[in-house]
Amino acid sequence: MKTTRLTLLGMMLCLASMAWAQTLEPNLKWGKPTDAELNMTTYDPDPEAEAVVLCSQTVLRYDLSSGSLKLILSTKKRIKVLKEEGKDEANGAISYIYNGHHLDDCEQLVKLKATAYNMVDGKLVKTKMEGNMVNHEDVTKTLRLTKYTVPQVTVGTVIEVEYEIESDFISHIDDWWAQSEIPVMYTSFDVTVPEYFDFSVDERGSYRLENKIEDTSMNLAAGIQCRGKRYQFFGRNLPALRQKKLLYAPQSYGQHVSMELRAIQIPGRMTKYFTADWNDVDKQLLEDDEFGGRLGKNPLKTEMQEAGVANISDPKERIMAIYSLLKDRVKWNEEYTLYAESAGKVLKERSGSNASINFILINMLRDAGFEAYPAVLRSRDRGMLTVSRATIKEFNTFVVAVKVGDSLSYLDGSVEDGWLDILPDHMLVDRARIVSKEKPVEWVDLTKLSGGKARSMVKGELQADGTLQADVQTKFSGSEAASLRREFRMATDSATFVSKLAQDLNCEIESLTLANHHGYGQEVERKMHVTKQCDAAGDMIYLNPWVLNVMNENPLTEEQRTLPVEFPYIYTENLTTVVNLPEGYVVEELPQPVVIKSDDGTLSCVIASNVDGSALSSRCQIQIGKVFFAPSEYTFVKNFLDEVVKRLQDVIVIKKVS
Amino acid sequence: MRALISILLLLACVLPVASQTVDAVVEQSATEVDCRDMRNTRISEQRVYRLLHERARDMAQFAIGCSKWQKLTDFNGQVTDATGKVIRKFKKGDLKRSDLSSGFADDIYTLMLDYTPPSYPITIEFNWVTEANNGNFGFPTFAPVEAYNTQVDHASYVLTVPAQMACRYLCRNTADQVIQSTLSDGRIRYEAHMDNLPAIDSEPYSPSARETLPHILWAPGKFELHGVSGDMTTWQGFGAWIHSLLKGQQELSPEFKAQLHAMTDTCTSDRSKVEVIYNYLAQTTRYVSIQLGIGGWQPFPASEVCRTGFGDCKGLTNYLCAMMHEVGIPANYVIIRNDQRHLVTEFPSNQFNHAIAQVPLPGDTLWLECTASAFVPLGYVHDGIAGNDALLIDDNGGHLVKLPAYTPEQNVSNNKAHVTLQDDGSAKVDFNMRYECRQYEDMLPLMSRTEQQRRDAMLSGINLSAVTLGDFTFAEHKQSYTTPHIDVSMQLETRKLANITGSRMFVPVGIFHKITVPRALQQRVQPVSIGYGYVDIDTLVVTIPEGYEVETLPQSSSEVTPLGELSQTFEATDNTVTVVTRHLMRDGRYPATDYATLRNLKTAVKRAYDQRIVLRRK
Repeated sequence: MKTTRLTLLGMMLCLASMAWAQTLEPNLKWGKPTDAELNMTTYDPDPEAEAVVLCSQTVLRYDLSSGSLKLILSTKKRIKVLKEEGKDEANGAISYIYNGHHLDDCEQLVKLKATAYNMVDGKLVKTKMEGNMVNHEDVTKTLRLTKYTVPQVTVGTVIEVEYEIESDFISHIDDWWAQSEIPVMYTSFDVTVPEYFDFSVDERGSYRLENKIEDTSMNLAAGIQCRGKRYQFFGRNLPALRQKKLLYAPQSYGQHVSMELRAIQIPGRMTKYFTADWNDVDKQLLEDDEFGGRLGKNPLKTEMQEAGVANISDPKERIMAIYSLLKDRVKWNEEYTLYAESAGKVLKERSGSNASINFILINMLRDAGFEAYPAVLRSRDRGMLTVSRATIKEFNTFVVAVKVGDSLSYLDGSVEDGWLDILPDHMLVDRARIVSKEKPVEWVDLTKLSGGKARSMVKGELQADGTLQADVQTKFSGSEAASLRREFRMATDSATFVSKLAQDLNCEIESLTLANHHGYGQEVERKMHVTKQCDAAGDMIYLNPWVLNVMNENPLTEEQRTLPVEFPYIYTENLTTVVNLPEGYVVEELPQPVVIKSDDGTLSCVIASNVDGSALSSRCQIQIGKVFFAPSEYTFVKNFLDEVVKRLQDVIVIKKVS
Repeated sequence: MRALISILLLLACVLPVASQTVDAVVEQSATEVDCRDMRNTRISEQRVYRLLHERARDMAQFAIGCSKWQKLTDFNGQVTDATGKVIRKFKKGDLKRSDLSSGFADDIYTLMLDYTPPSYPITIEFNWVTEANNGNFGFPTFAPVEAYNTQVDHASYVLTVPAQMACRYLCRNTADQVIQSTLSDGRIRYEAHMDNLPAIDSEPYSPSARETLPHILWAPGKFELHGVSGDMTTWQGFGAWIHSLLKGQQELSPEFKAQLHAMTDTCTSDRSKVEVIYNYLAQTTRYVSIQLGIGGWQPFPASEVCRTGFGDCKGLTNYLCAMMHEVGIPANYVIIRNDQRHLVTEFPSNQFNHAIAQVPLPGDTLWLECTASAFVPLGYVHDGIAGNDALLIDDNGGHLVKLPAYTPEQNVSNNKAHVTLQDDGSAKVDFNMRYECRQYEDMLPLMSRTEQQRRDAMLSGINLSAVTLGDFTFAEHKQSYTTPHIDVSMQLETRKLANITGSRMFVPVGIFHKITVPRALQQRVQPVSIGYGYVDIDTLVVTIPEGYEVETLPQSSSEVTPLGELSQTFEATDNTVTVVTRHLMRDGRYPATDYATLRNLKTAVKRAYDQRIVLRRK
């Protein structure tokens, strides 16, 4: 559903981009910038661009000339600097796998050249980058970063950068990104794969690249020829990617091409198949030592018996008892992974990634008679999963799915303040895959989980001077409860916790108590007594009945948006206020009630007040029922939130009559 | 002021400290610096931390910066749980190495250990030794309070140096003494202890920790760095050493000299020459962070920066000075700290992280930032350096100077809005804003954004919703030698300006800003520091819709305190209401008791901006 929407939008944008596409043909000759390139001062489709990629060519080929098969990536890029900020394009960094002096399983930067072209007094001046303008940094034992800085780059400069990486990882091709933070006038990707390799090739993003796929013959080395397949992609006039708020992975919306190895067929040998469909992915994961290999015995069997877990009759409570028994022994190390360390190591070091904790949890749950499975997923900060592309690369972590009655509940080793079905927001994806030989379902939707709920009751006494004294009771559940617990846990002390809340509510808090705010649990209850000053003048009191700040401002302030909006989790707020008016006062005027609902019912807001004798009661219900909104829905969502924010500021007019 | 801080800290010890949250205890902090000669130093360190809460998790991480000249020669550690059982041991091989730097190049790599404590409380001990052979430019500061909410039980520091080094120290915010003795080999041994230091809370509007926490600074007199020797007993001497590093770095090629003269010989004044050179720097160079060369102290030669078109702050500054000298303009190399107003002026030592240029024109001394010359207008002193202490370098060595700062009245934003209100609560609003000096600087980054991003940023800055923005201009006005400003004008319509209840309309006054009041504290310990003085002057004119009249006009208000001021006035005519709100904050250091004053002031400001005008149908 979402993909279709995106594709449609993509086509619309594509048409739009064609409309303003300049038909300037790219200059494919390197070392010879054209006069048009040298004299250009702005890029018409995006007059504010600080720089533009004039031409970029990436060629990927296989080579056997050194005796062993290598993958060679050659990149050439010509950039025009248009503004001061664009000078940063002169600095670059290339990262690659580098094993120090071990020459196997390595990537090597074999060539890096850059030149600046400037027009000085009508003459073309070339300045080459020198050796001391390149610097290597070993980020880790196996990851090297080569930084370079091109000389004589100023507004107007044309920069050419060219580099080549030789890789031993012949079955792995990195994603190729057509778009970047600056606009791209022309870019191409050209891969020729020998007949022995079978790759699936996917293009993703909201634009459409031109492509050409053809059978060809190729030379792997002198005298070694084979057949092959050549894939070419061309992009023209692609806009800059500029980051947006309320998105987990803005960069993932850029146009890119992904290639995944499906099979290796070397003549005279058996064809070796890699991932082909999702069942193969399951199989591959289950056969992996660090995934399926982690499923097995319960390493905490004795501890579970000693704790008497089996005696807890409520299955959800039993699951949570098992979880907290495990978490008392193992602390999450703040890493999310797909693969796990051995239970022995994790229990000895007493810390581990979510995956490491999750496998132990699955084994404990299974031992306790539950059906439990890994539900693998691509977390929202990595961008959306492509269902049409069955590969392990799509996943970066997993959560535990456990059957309770007829339905599945979820838990993750990183959870510290939540409960069953309360997961960190970036794991709330629309597709997670249950990995197991026998499984209840294949794909599960996690976006409706962990919904934040707050239900508040405010009972207040209004004084003639406009002071409102109120008892405020709120029940938080789902993610709202988890975040309140976390806030309390990480606050320096309770006084700080209270003073920050008072600052946020803009009122005095005379007392505050919390219940169920330690450890794991479903609901947190907060009770406070607060004093708030309302406007009063003469015989009039102007009362805004909402002591709690439900929504102060609209996070969506951009006028327009080309990328979607992603909320952290679904959300419901229920607020009831009952205020006793001071003796001799009556309500003179009430604001109009509010009723707003989106067509699909996922957004709604109802606000209404009424008077019963000297008691004034106001109710408010706000609901955000889904986490993902397409760009086409942006205006509606923005207007909805604007309206809610504004109408929560409505005022009730109260007047003295006797 | 120093005395005052000490008194406050003493008070903190006497007053009920029991309420203070302690997340970690430094049970033992021992540092032993063994300086064998001018080149070789061995430092042995021990830390024993008891972590009581996961808020102190960061203290379980170990990280150290090393280089070719400064190596970690030994490391071990262990973790003990609450029962006293050792649950983990660390050795040097457990450390991970990374060269990753934030800039283009530096000499430093990091060795680190990322450990997750399984439970709290837990005790972590680290022991390590580093050896350096690149000289004795400085010694680690003895500052055992490493974080907020961290109490120190025992801390000790021993420094042994050759007598001819003429080592010096300065105790700050502490009454603890340094014990000095002479060893049998003639070297001098200094020893200091700090015990039972209470934890302190992180409080809003606090001065930087280094200004309030107890610490002892150490510095050599005679020193050597990468074979270049000097004497930093005085600022003059420190500056003379920097000067020696600049020597010979200012040569320019004959062709380039000729080009400079061709560019400036027609200039009629020194001011215009400076302008030509400054603009030339902006147009032909860019900043690249390179922390190399005599410990990152020697600038790249001017000719090199000229040839490559890039450099770091030192390289660009030195290059600018060279160009100025060539065309007959005096210019000085100045070292400064860009994140601190004050140097410890009574203690000559390395306290710098940045370089700028000073051009002493008669009656008009210029301070030039060379790393952002394309953005900072000539003559404007940006906030990273304005009002800061600095060391000016010339042929006679170093001289302490203080850069000029702008007054709160100069850092002004002048905001006007004319609201034409309709009877359905919608309105047309014409905004005109002007931002000057520091407030100009706050808006300056938007100049580098797209028009759409500027529109979005301005809309999110004002306090209005349901807005449709029409005409919009965002214009920077900068000219050499004048105070820069940015003018913004916006014509917008909002579907919802006033809230309507029956026959009444409520018109919000605070459409210009969003105000937060600093939170209440049970007990304020640290002095109040306001880093930035400014004034906002907001004028709102509301044209009332036909058929409506004012029912209630909020009270005018005024608040004058040493920290700042607020005044708000309301004036109504038949069909308009004019609201003028002026809010001024004065930068400076105030006693802890003024925190209440600050809160009262900010509460008054918030209240003023939360006011509503009540209109009623006639």
